[in-house]
Amino acid sequence: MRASRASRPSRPIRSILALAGAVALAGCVFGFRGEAEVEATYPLTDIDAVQIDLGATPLTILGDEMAVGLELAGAWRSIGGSSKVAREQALGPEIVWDTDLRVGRLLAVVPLKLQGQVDFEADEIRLPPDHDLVLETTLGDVYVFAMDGNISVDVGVGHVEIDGGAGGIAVRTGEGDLEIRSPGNLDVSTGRGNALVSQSGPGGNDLVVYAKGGSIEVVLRSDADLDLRLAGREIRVHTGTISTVTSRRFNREVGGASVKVWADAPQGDVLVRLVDAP
Amino acid sequence: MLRCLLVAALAAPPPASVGSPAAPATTPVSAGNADTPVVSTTGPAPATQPAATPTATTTSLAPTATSTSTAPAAPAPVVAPAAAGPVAQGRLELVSTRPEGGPVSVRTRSGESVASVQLQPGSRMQLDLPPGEYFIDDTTRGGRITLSVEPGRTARFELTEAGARGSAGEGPAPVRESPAAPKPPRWKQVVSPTLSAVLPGLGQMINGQPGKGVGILFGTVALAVGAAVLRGASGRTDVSGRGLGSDSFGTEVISAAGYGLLSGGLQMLYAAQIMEAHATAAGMRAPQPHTRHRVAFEVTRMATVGLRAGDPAAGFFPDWNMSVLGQVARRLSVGVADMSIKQGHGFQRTTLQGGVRLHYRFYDRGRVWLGAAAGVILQGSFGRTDPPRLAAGSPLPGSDGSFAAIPYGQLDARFFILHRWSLNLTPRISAPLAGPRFYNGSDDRAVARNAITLELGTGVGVYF
Repeated sequence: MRASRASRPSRPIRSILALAGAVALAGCVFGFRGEAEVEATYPLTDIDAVQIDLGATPLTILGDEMAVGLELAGAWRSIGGSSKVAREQALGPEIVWDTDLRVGRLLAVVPLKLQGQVDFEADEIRLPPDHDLVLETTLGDVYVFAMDGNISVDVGVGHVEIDGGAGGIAVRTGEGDLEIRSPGNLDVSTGRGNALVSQSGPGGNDLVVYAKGGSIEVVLRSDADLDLRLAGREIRVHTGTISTVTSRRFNREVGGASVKVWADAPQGDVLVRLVDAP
Repeated sequence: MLRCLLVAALAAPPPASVGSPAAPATTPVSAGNADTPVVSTTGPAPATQPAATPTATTTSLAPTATSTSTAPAAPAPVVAPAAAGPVAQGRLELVSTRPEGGPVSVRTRSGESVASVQLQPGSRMQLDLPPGEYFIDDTTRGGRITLSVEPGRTARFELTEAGARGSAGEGPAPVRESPAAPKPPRWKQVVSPTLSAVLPGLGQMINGQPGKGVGILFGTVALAVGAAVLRGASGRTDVSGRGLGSDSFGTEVISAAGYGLLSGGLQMLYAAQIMEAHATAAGMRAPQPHTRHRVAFEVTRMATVGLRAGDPAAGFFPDWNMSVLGQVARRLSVGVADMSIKQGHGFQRTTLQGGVRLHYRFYDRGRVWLGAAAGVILQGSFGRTDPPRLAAGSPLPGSDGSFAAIPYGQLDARFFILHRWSLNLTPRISAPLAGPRFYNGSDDRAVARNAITLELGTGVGVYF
């Protein structure tokens, strides 16, 4: 059958269709992904505190009595215009272990020509539990378990969960929930997210919590000697010595008032309860 | 002084010429004294046109007039010699290019009739008249032209399809003006676009188009809200978890592409409604783009959706830049393009970008231009990437650098709302060579070396 000439679109319509096709296709990048695994152990002899800054990556830190040093496992992920370029780029950046006096620092160093094209994702970091920790990440959840030293965490966006930190805990996250269980003193804050903080061990440690855009729940081991300073939309306190439901602000001192329980949730609610209470 | 003149319609043949159209026919009409106007005509002589028979009119200008009608074969008008007199004569030429011709009457300023003729299509007639101003009426359409007849000169009156026109001694004011729309106030040409820039649609409301203004306002808000929602749809804590890899790639691509389309549409709508407010205030209905412009300035946002190594696995990559192109030959422009400065990696990296472009416009009818271009972007980046060492007294780390050449080809469609301003839509294909190409944004947005990139540019152009 002979094709009808009339069935072909006219020249302007063909031009418009070509332009529409170009517009529809516009806006994508053709590329490949690469990966290079990393496993390393860094000595912690004479090191008391460890700083970890591996860029935008989630961090899982485990305190391990059996660890011989700081044991790192993870992978560099990369992109490239070809599979070969992607592989090469995954091998380009490096992990640097830098020490001075009693401080060690673990850093991901990315050359300028690889910025935006590589990303380190740590699987797990193990180290002896008696070290202090300083953790930084711009994007990524942070989990710390069984570490006994002082723990400091600074996160751009990500949830933070810590169990331990007898030496004290300081946490700041721009956006993300906090879930902290510690026998040490706490000073934690989140810009957008909820906070759940619990006293562990014998209790009696200070809790200072700020959740700018979320609610706060405080779980106490004991309600003796409390210095309660609470602020929020709705405030509920259920302990053996205090039971109240109020709003905006609630201050109360119990006994010697030696244990700070300060919670501020400008746009959320505050609940303070004992560990065994519902 | 009482004068009379009887003038025949000149294009029509006299009865004697019927049946012999090729034969010139001359018919003396009347003769007068020294002030006599002398009439001569030339033009087609239809063989049978009863309606074209000479029209006689009695005038108060007595003297002598001569009417001459010639066939098309005689191209030169026959001019009757002017009678000798104390005053030098001027000449008035009456011409008709109107298909149907029409009657024309000539009067003095005092209202005295000098001549009344029926002009045929293509005919031409000349009157030798005493100097002075004369009213020439297009009787069919009611137009009047005032012409000054000067000694030794020829004033010209023409019946055209569009109306009556006069030249050489034209009088100060035609009696009847063409019906034109009242000119809009000038202040609106500045105030309307300014207000539209402050609040989209407000300029249209000032221009008396409240419906259009409200529509633009709602459209702008809808696009802005949609873009904001898509921008926040993925990322943040959704991608802060461990081990996501590129699992979220699909949704992130959709979010990024949607954001790019909505924000690009918002950008174009914003620019268009400012231009439209000015065009309406100026009474501009159809812009006439300057195809012969010397220089064109463009501000463009090239954008694409690119891969990311970490999470999110895809992102929106914008590249705001400016271009200056000179039109060196008809439709061919060349110049510097894609100029911009970018800060990245927490303002620790600076990228300087520029390039050259050769552009050809292959279609420029009406308010739409289509073109194609090829060029290369050169991008150099520098900054410090190594952090300072912990040990006291360690030297500061040195600076690091990167260079990329990005050749590209592109199409462009330009839509003009004003004479000199256009909205531009530019699909482009490119690939960075030798190094990565960095985009705008505080976080790292880079297209890796050798990655073929399709981009869509949206922007505005201005032409001088």
